[in-house]
Amino acid sequence: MKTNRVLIPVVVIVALHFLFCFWYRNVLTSDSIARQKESFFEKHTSVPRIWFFGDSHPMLGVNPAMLPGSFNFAGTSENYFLNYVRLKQMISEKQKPEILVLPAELHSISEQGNVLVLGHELDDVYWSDRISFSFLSEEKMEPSFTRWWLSARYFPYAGQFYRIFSQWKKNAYTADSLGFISSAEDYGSLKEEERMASASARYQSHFHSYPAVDSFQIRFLRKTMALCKSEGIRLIFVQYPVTDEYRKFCEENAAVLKVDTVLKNEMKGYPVLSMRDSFAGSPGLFSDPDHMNTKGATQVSERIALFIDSLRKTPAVKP
Amino acid sequence: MLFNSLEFPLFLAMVVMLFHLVNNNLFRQYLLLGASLFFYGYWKWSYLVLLLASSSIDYWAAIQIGQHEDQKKKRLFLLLSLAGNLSILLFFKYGKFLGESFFADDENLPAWLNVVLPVGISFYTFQAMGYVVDVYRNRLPAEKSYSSFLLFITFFPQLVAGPIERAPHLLKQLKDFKHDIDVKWMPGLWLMASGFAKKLLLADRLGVFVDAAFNHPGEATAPQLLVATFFFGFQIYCDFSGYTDIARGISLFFGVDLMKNFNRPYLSRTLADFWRRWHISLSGWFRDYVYYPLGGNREGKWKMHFNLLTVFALSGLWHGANWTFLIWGLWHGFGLVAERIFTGPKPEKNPGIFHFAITLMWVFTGWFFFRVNSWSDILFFKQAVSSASFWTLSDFNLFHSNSELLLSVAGICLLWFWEAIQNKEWLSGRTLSMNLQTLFLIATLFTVLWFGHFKGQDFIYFQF
Repeated sequence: MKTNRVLIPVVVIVALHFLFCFWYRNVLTSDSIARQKESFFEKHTSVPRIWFFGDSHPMLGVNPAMLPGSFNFAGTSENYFLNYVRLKQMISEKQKPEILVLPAELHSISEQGNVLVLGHELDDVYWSDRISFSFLSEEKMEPSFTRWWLSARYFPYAGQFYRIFSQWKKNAYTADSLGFISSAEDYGSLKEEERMASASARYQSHFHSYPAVDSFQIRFLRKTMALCKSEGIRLIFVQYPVTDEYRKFCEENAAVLKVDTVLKNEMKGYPVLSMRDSFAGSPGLFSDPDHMNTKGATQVSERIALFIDSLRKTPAVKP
Repeated sequence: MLFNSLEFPLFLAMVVMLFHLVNNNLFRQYLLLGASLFFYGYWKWSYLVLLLASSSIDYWAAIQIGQHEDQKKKRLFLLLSLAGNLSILLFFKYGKFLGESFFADDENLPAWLNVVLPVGISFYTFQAMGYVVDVYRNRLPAEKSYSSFLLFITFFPQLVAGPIERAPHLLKQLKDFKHDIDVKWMPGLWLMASGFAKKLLLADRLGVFVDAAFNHPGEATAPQLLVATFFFGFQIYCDFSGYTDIARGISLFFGVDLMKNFNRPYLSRTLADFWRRWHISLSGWFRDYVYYPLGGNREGKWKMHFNLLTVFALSGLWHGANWTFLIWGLWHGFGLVAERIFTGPKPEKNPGIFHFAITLMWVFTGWFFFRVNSWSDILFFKQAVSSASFWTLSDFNLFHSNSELLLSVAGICLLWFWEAIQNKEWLSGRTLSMNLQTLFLIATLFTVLWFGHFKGQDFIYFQF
């Protein structure tokens, strides 16, 4: 009788826990960008040669339909650490690209990257499944990441109540079969003061609470570079366009401008296509202060295609 | 180690299991002592030495007081113990603050003054000082067993954030772990669940908004600060009483009953009543070891007012080396003096809704001084009050999501309602069946898991 009083509640708790884990993994978060893109990628009969990794800039800015043999993996807030995790895992599955394209934005090495991961803001299930105990020890991950990994893996639903409600909302992003997510929004249709307010909000969200240069992200950028080198993958960088308003805010902050110097130093020897100022005075090509809309993505993709073509004609230099 | 960390459940499960596997008093004492030292050392091993050193001085001083008949010698050992504890407290807690005042800025501050504040130092030094004073006053004999005394100081559930226990209550329980100890599993689990619910559902959730308003004084508007101050009152209550609930719940697994530290403080009808319900162990400590020795209310009205102000100034400073804590302490001191002047020595006899409203307003205004980061922030807000933009409602961005706001407000209302009805006759006499209690416990567990705020924030009182 006494045993039952303990055993039955324990069994109920364990059963509920597994039920919630299953529901969370397979229903509530099943259509995240990362998982949508992965399922499309798996349907390809031959592995695409050019892979785009990175955050929302390549996610909205690169249309692989204009770059034959390419696939766009990029997803919201995917930073250098997550890029490395994905590349390492795919290489372990015997899949690798000829060319890997990474973004090099002003907030690419900001602390925001790991804050979002550790804060369980991204798709924990997807990312923690790509990390193992051996990864944590091999990469000498900080204890905070081990804690994040343990909770993401074994209590994925903890603190995630809002995903229950988001099920009833339409998913904001739906990728096509090549991983492209298009946005029809027109930033240019906003009034000037609305554009300034919007740019200020974007700038604040990137730099207000986070140091712009974070050694953690740099560490994983270097690891990605080393991995590409050892696997014979050609790594190139793209700086995606931003609007005049957004750039103006960034230029007022010396700490943000320092990012360019740091990145320049890191990318020494690698091909870099900089388009940051390329669409100045063309707000109609943006969906918001620092993301392209469908029209803008077409132009950006054309430029990247030309850049990659020009690179093919020149042999890769050893960085 | 934090109660809300991933390591803690594993640690607790092992200690509880070992404790109940072996029915031996000595083994249980040493197990709890070892676990307590590990619990503290897990944070910073080097500061364990400090804890052991200060406890050893108190143990030795109490033994000496007990052995000597001569009052002068007794007093000498008492002073030695108090000096030891207070100098440790002064150096680690106030050294940097005093150094900064003396050297004018951080850069000239000697490196030896730039030390990390040992977690729980104010709690364990006060507990030890209370013990030595009690021995000096012949309220209890000096504890002969070093391990028992050390366990009394370091007992892990209450080591880093109280309640500040008295030796006659706790020491006796920690010396007697017979096999038939009264282990209250269900009340213990309920206290733990309530503590985690307060901390993870409410305190940490409110903390996001409170931090956003108080940590960026240049951007916060008056309406935001008002709401943040109100939220902070509940954040600190849920955080601290949540910790105490967890500590009391864990202790019950070992058959140890810790004192109640909070008694529905936001239902207080007077300020004096509030201080009988808020951080009861500290209020009691200051009453017995500072207020009464100063003369209490026995030496006339004005001396009593002076004593009250002294006690509350010290209570403010106990929280940390910052002028804002002193202001908070004095705010309450002056409030109590005013209450005594206007309503007489026993104001709580006829409290009405008006008293209740005034008390709450006084307490929550006090929280503003408590939470604000520095004296310069107070001056900044004082200046901003005259600016029209400070009072704007246009940037009134409460939370990053409406669901967070909804959960927070619902949580506050539920807590207030539950505390208001808790002692009603129609409820207090009823007990739920074991099955229903278990069901509610499981529901609470999963509510905390789904809706909790898991960002690993420390308990606020750790910094004190």
